[in-house]
Amino acid sequence: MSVEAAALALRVSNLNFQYKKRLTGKIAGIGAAAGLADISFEIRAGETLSIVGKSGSGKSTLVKCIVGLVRPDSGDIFIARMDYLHAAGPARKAIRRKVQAVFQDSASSLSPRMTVEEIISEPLAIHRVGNAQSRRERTRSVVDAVGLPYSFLTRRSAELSGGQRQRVAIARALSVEPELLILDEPLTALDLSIKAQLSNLLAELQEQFGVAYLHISHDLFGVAALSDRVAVMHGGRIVENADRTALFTNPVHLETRSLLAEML
Amino acid sequence: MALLTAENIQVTFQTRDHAPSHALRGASLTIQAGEIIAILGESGSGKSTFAKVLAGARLGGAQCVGTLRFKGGQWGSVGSRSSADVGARGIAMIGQQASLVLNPFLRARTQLAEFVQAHGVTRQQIAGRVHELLEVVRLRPAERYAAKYPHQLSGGEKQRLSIAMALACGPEIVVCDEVTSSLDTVTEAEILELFSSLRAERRVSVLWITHNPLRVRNFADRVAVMYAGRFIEIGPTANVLDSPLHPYVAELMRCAKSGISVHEDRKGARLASIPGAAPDAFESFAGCSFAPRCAEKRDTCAQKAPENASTEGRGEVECVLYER
Ligand SMILES: Nc1ncnc2c1ncn2[C@@H]1O[C@H](COP(=O)(O)OP(=O)(O)O)[C@@H](O)[C@H]1O
Ligand SMILES: [Mg+2]
Repeated sequence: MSVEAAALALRVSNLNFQYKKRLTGKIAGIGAAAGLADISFEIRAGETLSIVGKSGSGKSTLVKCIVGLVRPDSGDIFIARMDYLHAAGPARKAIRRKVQAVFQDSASSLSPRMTVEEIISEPLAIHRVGNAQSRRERTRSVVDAVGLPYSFLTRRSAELSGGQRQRVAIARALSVEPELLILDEPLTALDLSIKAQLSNLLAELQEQFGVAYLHISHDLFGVAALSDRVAVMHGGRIVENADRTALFTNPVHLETRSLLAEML
Repeated sequence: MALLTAENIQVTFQTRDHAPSHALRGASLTIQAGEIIAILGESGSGKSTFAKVLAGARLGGAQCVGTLRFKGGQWGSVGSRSSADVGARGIAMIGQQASLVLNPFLRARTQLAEFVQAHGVTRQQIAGRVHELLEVVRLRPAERYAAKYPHQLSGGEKQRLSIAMALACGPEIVVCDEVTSSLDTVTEAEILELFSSLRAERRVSVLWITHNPLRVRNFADRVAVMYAGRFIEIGPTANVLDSPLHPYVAELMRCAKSGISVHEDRKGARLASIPGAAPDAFESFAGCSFAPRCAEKRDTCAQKAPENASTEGRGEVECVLYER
């Protein structure tokens, strides 16, 4: 393993995926989901790659491949330098711990009757991390890190506002010390002033924990502040992948320009 | 002339196991004929409740206070039978999800015909009126779209069809509640364009409810900002967006602008944000609703609610900084 490869949190190479015919008919009917065509990119430890693209460009399919909900037809995924697609059993589970995800609508994935403490400590229990005492301590420390008071530990997710719920989802994802956090439109449904708060929180958490982000967004709003690099997806392909400053100041692909134009 | 005046509208929902929920805490707004007003507010600020009040929708058991005047005539207290009647005739409402008003089993022409019929059109006129409405919302060629079922339409086209249905009654005011919030920005721009021309061609007034300040610049004549159930600033669009008066609006615009300023080259630059969150509808407070988050608050702000102040040419604002 080269020195450079050692510092990668995620490496995706030549990933291909096609929805099966039987499914595409249905999916095309509700607004076309592209497969994935020859997707390759890397994220270095502690850095952020944002993948931006309009709806139907293939972002969600890509996320499904990386979290293991969909099996690609070909290609490789290395998470924390381990071969994810060819791992099985305990090895696969160990890799799964290294990558956690926060979705747009965490309300639907968090049980409304669980307390915040139960929600956050659940991944610790699933991955059998430490004992009850150390899990409780870890839970308190991540709750603190996402800026919620300890009094929230006994609340139920149904009692939380949208912004608070996303904080809980982030704390839950961080509890098992992942190397990579997938942020799938985590701010999209939030109000502007809350969106900005959470974007700043994510930036702080990255500085504090050194976790890498794969950040997915359908527009470029706020993306510059969070990213090291930005990739643009269109029709199941990555059509441009550039350093953040270069992408914003010197966009090359038509799709990138169109996304930039939309911003204003 | 003022087409519609809403004065000091208060709506309180009684909930079974919670304290009363104050959705509107004294919202006042005047709409001129042929005007486009954007109502800007974060979620829970009361926008949808205000829209429902104007459209005369029933507010299931809520306690309503305030007056509505349509073309100068008193139209009864909010939420009453008579206000529902006027609402039904002069004001149409369109919501975020077209799918809620479209019947999946009916072709576009059949859906539209039902609405046209309900508004006193003779049998012979129906087909012509349906065709005209499809043209108005740019579902062209109208003959082809008339035969389509909702599932054969894109999200934007479905929303256009629901707009055509709202226009069937020939309303003077169209209230649009987050009509484009689930559409992509290109489709959104097309719908904004559609309403701009509707206003130009038919002089309808548009009340455009949104949470996104970045999309109203070249569209609305005025912006009314809602916070915790009141309009805290109302003014010409460019003024509100570029030189806001109220500290909340100023902060909000800083958030919006920092999200699109892409030139800073240092990673880790933070977006402008507002600490805390807006009070929810269950909270009661004596003073200014923004005081707990306000960087410019005075000693009195937490106790005394600000009065409405008019500033020369720049609109109205509710903030102690502008009281005389
Ligand atoms: N039927 C209802 N019962 C109780 N509370 C309600 C009801 N409808 C709205 N509210 C409350 O009123 C406030 C304003 O809601 P709404 O008008 O929907 O705001 P917006 O459209 O700006 O998001 C919210 O706090 C909401 O919870
Ligand atoms: Mg609403």
